[in-house]
Amino acid sequence: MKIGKHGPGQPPRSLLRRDRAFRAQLARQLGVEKPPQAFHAAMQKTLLELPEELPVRYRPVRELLRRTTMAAAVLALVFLGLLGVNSTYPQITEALPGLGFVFRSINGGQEVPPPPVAEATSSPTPTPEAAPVFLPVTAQPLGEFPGDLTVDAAWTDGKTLYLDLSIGFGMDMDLAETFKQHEGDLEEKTGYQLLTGTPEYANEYDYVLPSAHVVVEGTLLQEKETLSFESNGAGRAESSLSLDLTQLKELIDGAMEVQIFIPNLTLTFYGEHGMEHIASWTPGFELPCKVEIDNTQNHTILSPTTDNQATLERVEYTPSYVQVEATLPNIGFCGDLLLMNDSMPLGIYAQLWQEEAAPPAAPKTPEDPWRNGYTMSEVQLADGTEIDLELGPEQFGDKNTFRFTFCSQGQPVRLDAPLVLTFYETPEEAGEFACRRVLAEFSIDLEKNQVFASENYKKTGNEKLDPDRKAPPLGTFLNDFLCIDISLQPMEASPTGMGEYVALFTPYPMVGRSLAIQAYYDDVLVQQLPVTTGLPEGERFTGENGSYMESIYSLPSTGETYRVMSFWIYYLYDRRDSTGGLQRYTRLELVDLETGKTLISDLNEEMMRSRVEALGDFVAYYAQQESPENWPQVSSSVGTESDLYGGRNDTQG
Amino acid sequence: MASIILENTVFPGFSGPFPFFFSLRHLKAVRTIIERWVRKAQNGDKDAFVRLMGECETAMYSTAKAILHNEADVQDAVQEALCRAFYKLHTLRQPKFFKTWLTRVVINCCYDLLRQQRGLVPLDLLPEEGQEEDRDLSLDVRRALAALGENDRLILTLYYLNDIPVKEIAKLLGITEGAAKMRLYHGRKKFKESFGANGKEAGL
Repeated sequence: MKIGKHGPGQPPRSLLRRDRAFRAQLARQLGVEKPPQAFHAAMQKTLLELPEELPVRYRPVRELLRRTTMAAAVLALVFLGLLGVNSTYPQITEALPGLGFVFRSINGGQEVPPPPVAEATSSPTPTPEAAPVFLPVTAQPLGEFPGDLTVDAAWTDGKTLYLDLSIGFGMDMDLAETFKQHEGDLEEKTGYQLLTGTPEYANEYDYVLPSAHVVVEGTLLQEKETLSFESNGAGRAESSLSLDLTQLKELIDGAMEVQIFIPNLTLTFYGEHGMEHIASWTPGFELPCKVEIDNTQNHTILSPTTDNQATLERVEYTPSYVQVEATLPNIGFCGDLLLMNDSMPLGIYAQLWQEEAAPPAAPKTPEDPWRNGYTMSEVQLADGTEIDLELGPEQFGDKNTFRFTFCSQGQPVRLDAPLVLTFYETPEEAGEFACRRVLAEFSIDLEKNQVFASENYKKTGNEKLDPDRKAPPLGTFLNDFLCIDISLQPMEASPTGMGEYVALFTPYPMVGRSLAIQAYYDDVLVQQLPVTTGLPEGERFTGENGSYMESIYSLPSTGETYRVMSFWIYYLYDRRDSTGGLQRYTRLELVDLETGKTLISDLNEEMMRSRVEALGDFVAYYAQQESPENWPQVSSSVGTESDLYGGRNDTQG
Repeated sequence: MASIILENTVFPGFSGPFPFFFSLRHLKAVRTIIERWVRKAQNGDKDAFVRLMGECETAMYSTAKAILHNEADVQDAVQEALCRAFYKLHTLRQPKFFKTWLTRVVINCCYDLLRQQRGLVPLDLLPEEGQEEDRDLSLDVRRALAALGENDRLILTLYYLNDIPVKEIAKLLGITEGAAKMRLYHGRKKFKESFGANGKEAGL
C-alpha cells in the first residue's frame, strides 16, 4: 500500500522550497526563460570549431587493471594450451616447475573439496503489523471530464490522514493519448499536469487558482488546495495528499468519513513559454470514502526526565510524527557566538533519529529533508509563538514544543529501536552535527514506554556543555584581537574586481593605532592594507589597496560591547589557480606598524582556532569532507593554461 | 565532423534543461545520465560533450546572465567557459560534481570578463561598498557581513533555476552553508517584495 509523500496537514513551507511558480517568476523577471537564438547559434558554432576529440583523462588504476586483465587473459590461453599438451604428454606438464603439481593432481584424479557453504546468519526481518486494508474507491465525473477519480490508498493513525489519488482518462484513452491530441501545437509531449483549480491569467502569466477541498467528519480540513496530478506512465495521473487531523475538535475512533471535492480541473503544460492552459473542466468530482483509523502504534509517555538541566516533559509518538515538550535552560543566544540570527536562543536545535541508524553527522539539505526519517517541522515556544528555525523567535520561554515529522514514501513502519532526541547548542549554520556541543540527550523506548537520559552523542565525539557557564565562549583573544570572518568577495574598486574581507573583534576602543593586514603568496609579501584605528562608526576609509570600517557590536546575553574592524583587501594581481580561478592569498597576517610586532601571523588559522573554541571541533570534520581544494587540478601533462588555448594569452600577475 | 544534436528531452517527464515539471525521481535519473555522458566525454567522446553542453546550455546562460546582464558579454563568457570545459573536463575527478564544476568555470569566466571591463560595468551589477545601510551593523554583525558583496541574482539563479544544492553553492561562493541559506532566504524575500507574489511590479 503506497502512502503519500507529503507531511501532515499544512506543513510549514520551507523557506527554500523550489516551487514552480517562483521558479517561473524568477526566470521571467531575470529574462532567462530561454536563451536567445543568437546565443544558441553561438554555442553551436563554438562546439563545431572545437577539435574532434577531448583531452583524455589518464587513469592509472584503470590502465593497471587493463594491463592486468590482458595478462590474465594471456595466462589463461597458455594454460589451456598446456591442458592440451597434458592430455597427450602428461609427463611433460607434470615436470613443469611451479605448475607440475597442478597437473599431477589433475592426472592423479584428486577431488577438489567443494567450497564451504556459507551458513545463513541473518534472522528474518520482522514485518510490521499490517494496517487495515483500504479498498480503492472510484467516482465518476459530475460533468464532462473524460475520466474518473480514484482514491487508490488511504491510511490514518488518527493524527494524520494520507491519501493517494489517481485520475484516469476513460477506459481506452490514457493520458498519453490526450497529449497526442495537442502534438501539433506543442513541440514536446512532456510537461503536462492536471491541476485542481480554475485557469487564470495575469500579467502574461498563466496560473491556476486552487479550488480542491477535503472534509473529514464534517470539518473542512483542506481548503483551496492545488493538487497536481502527474502521469505515472501507465495510463493514469497520480497525486497525493496528507492532512493534519489534530485540527478536528473531537477525537475519532473507528472509521472516519472523508469527502474529497474537486470542483475544477485544468490541464496545463510547462514548456518553453512557461505554463500554458490546455483545457479545463467544471464541475469535477465529489468522492466520499471511509478510512479506518489505525492508532495501535500511537504512544504517549508522561514521565518527566531530566538531563543536564533540560527536562523532557511529554512525548507523543505516532507513525506520522513525534512531538515532545521540553523545558530547556537559558544558555545564551546565537549572537553570543557571533552566529546569524543573534536573537535566537542556544540549545533548542534538536535532532531525532533511531538508535540503530548512524547518528546524524551532516545537516539536512533541502533536497534531502527526510534524512534519518525525521525532520523538525516546527518549534513552538512556551508563549505560543511558533518559529521556523531559519527565522528568529521573539521570546524564549520555559516550555517548548518540538514536532518532528516522519516523512515516508512508503508504508509507515513500526519503530523497534529506541529513538534518540539530541538537543544541540547551535544551529546548522555553526557546522555539522558531529562537531557541535550538546545540551542534552534522551532516548525514547516505545516498547517499554520509557524515556531516559543517554550518551549516544559521544559516539561522534560530541561533548556536553556546562549549562551553568557564565556565558557562551566567544573564543580566546590573541593580542586583544579575535578574527571572526575571512571571505573572498567581489569588490568593484579592486583592480581585479575581487578582494578578501576580514573581520576582527577587539574589546578596546583602540583609537589612533597603526595596524596593517599583510597578504602573502607563500612567503612573499604581495599586498598590505595599512589603517589607523578609531574611525567614527560607519565611516569608511578607502585607499589604493583596500578599505576599512569600524562598528560596535553588543553580545545579547551580557551586553558586552566589542569593536568590529572590517577590512576589504583588494587582489591587485590576476593570479590564477589550477581551475582558472583567482588564486587566494596563502596567508594573511595582522601587524602593528608602530612597533613592527606581528599580532596574528596567520589570520585564517587563528579564525579557525577561535571558531572551534567557540562552536566545537568542526575543523577536523570538514577536513574529512570534499573541499574546493580537492577539486580538479590541471595535470602537468596537459601543459599550462596558455598552451591549451593555442596562442591566447592570459595575463598573470 | 561529429553531428551536433542538442537534445533536450532525456525521457518522459523531463522537459529539457529547464525543467519546470519534474520529480525527485526524474532528477536523480537525469543526474545518472549526465554522469554517464561526463565519463564518455572524459574518454574523448565529443558527441557526449556536445550533449552535456546542450543539457547545461540554459543553466550556463542563466548563471552568466545573473552576473553580466549584457547579452554580448554573456555570450562571450559562456563561449569561453565552454572552451575551458572542453579542455579541462578530463581533470574532473568525480562526474557527479560536473554541474557544480561547470558552474564554477562559468562564474570564473564572468569574473574574468568583469575584471577586464572594470569601470564599464553597470553600477547596479556588483554590490556597492560604503552604502548608507552599512552604517547599521550593530544589531546583527553576521547578517551585515553576509549581505556585503554577494549578488542576490546569482545565488537565486544557482539554487532555484540551476538546481545546485546549498552545500555546493556555499563552496562556489566561498561562504558557509548557513550564510548561503540566509542569502537565499533574504534574496527570495527581496525578490518577492520587488515583484510581488503574482509577478506584478511592486507599487503598480
